[in-house]
Amino acid sequence: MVVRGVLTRAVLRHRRAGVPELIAALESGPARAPLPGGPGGGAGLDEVVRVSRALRVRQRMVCGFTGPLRESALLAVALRRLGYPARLVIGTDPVPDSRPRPLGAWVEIDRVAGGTGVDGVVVPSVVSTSSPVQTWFQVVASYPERVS
Amino acid sequence: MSCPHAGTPVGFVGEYGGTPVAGNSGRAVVELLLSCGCRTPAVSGCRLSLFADRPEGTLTWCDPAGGTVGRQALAQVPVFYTQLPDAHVSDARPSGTGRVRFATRLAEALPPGARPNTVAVAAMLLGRPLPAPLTPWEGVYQLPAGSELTCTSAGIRIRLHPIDLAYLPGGPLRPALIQALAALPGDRLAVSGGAASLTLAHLAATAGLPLTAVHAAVGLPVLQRRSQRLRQLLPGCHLLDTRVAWDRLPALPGDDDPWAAAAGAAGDALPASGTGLAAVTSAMSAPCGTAVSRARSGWRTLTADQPPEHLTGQPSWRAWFPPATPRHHPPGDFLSTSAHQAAAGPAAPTHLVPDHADQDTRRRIARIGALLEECAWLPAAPLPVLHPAVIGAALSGTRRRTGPPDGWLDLGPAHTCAVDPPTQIKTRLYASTWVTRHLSDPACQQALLDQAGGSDWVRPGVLAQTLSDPTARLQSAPLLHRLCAVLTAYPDLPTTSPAGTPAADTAAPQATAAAPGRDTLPLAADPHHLPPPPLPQGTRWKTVDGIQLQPLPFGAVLAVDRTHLTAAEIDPHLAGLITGAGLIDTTAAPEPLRRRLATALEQGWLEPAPAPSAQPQEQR
Repeated sequence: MVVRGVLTRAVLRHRRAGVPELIAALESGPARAPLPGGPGGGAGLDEVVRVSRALRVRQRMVCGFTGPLRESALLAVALRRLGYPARLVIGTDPVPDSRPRPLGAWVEIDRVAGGTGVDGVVVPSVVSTSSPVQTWFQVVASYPERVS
Repeated sequence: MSCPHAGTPVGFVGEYGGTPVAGNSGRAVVELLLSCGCRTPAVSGCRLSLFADRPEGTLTWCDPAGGTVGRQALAQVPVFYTQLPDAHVSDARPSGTGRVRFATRLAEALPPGARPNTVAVAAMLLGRPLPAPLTPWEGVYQLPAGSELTCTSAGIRIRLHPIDLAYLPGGPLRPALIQALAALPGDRLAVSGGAASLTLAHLAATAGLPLTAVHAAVGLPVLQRRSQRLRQLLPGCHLLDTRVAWDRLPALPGDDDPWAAAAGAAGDALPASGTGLAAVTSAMSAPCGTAVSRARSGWRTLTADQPPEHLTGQPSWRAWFPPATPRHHPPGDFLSTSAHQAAAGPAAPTHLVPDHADQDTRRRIARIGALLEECAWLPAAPLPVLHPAVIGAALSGTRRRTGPPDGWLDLGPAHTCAVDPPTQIKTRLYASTWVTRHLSDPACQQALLDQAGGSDWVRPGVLAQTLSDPTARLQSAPLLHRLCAVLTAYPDLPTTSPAGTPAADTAAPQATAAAPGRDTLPLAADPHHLPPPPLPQGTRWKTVDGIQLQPLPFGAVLAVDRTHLTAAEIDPHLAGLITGAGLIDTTAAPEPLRRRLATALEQGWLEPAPAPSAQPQEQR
């Protein structure tokens, strides 16, 4: 269980950082091991979702509303600072209806699948949005890079 | 009822009216349509329901003795009717009085020589819902749910009834859904991959219902991950290879879901999908003050979208949620104003809403009414959400305001929400796939131009430009797909505005005069249409360090600069030049490619690469 002060400090540390600085922090940080999986989806993921929600609230209290790219980048940095294997992913709509092609950003957590028939496989799970980005968006870039 | 094949009634067709006879309001001839394909006379009438337990409120009936045919408020079996000229009355009498032909299948209700309805065809073309009670054929109408048609010698009369909330049993949603699933006539459950479908499949599995979950898999890279995740979430799910179904054109408005059609065609049982469940449970918009409850539900809490402009950079303790507006697809420019005006037909609002219903109940019942009207055009897909127990549970939950609006998601297994793209996006993907496969060939493009060019609904020049540009073709894919479907079903698009719409008659020439340049290719006025700068000959090209080429579906390629967080969509031919042979005679190259090459050099992400010493200039 992460205490509130730690969450706030994780956001405060990067509250003035721009997107390039946040991405540099993502790629230069220490490696994080994937979360262990659990039966029926993994309890570890639920904890990360709760922490992400709390971080998002603090982020908007401290930094205000910003674009989705910076919000996701700051969330990923804060999660990695708390020890979670977070990754910022940028993707695009495969069939755009407007020009230029829209891009989207979200945060993934590396998690070892368990209880679903593919035990032991590292499955990235989205924690920053409820949109079905993993089955729809085409990944353009990720920070740090995905390990295939 | 006698049938050697032991078929069960699935519909009826009949005629009422004519000369009155003793003890009857008129002649009545009704036949039952059986599941084996046989027909048998129906003397005592017929009562149909798609649910095995035949709950009150879901019946479609015909009563020859009383000269009535009707649908109860939640009846999913449609009824189409048309007025026929009465042979037993004088010619001075208005045509069609006192004689009506009706059927549960549209093809059975068509009168001889039926002509396409211009308003309905235009609505099909624009992707709008069919204006109720119209059908794609003139003079043929759909009987609304909750209405009763009575035929007498004086004519036909339609009585409308709202939903009687008293017969809708309220209660928890979970047992109501299990009851509806158990009452389905089929043994298959079409799992589209969405959260609602997965919820239904999960409930059927945990309740021990003999329903086989079927998922229509398509051979597309975009959706292959969905099939993989479904295998994880539903190990017993039966995957169907439906690549062939993706090449077909929809035959009727609303019949544009290859997933449901393929799942239904795979067996003799009717499929059920979670589309209706998602539609009804999401029909309630987000009123003020629900942010906290939504945050606790964990559904849309973390949705990251572009905040409103006036909130950017402003701190606030309240979460902001994007408006729940449907994804808007602007119509293509190649449709003229005449087409838009032709689709502006009368749309009847639903009459199912009781007088004492509150606002949320009204909104949900309106969505239920839309689902009921859509059932007529779906490929025989019963919607379990339209079982009275489910409707009652959804409405009672609304009235009590207990739980989050999307509380049905909690009924499914954990972490099944983010699996499938929404229905609108899937439809767009389907259209994009079809257009990419069938309209990339210049010969097919010319055939479409030849067929559609004669109608004043289409601007041929703009259509030609859209077809020739891969990006514009992809952006207009839904409209192009509908245009091909409409031209297949109705080969002759109207060449004049529909009769009876004076505004369209006068506006069409004005629109043509107001935009004289829209039919011409605007390349001559393009400021970028300049001779490209000279390029070195026989040069191999490569991207500068840090630039990656990211191929995307449907032929698009992105040049991504990971360091500077920029991405640009580049021409597929240019990407092939970079990743393929890499050597080009720039003098003989097409001018657009030379221009794009020069632009890339100017932007700085492409540079000449040193030629390998092993094969110097040998391909020149």
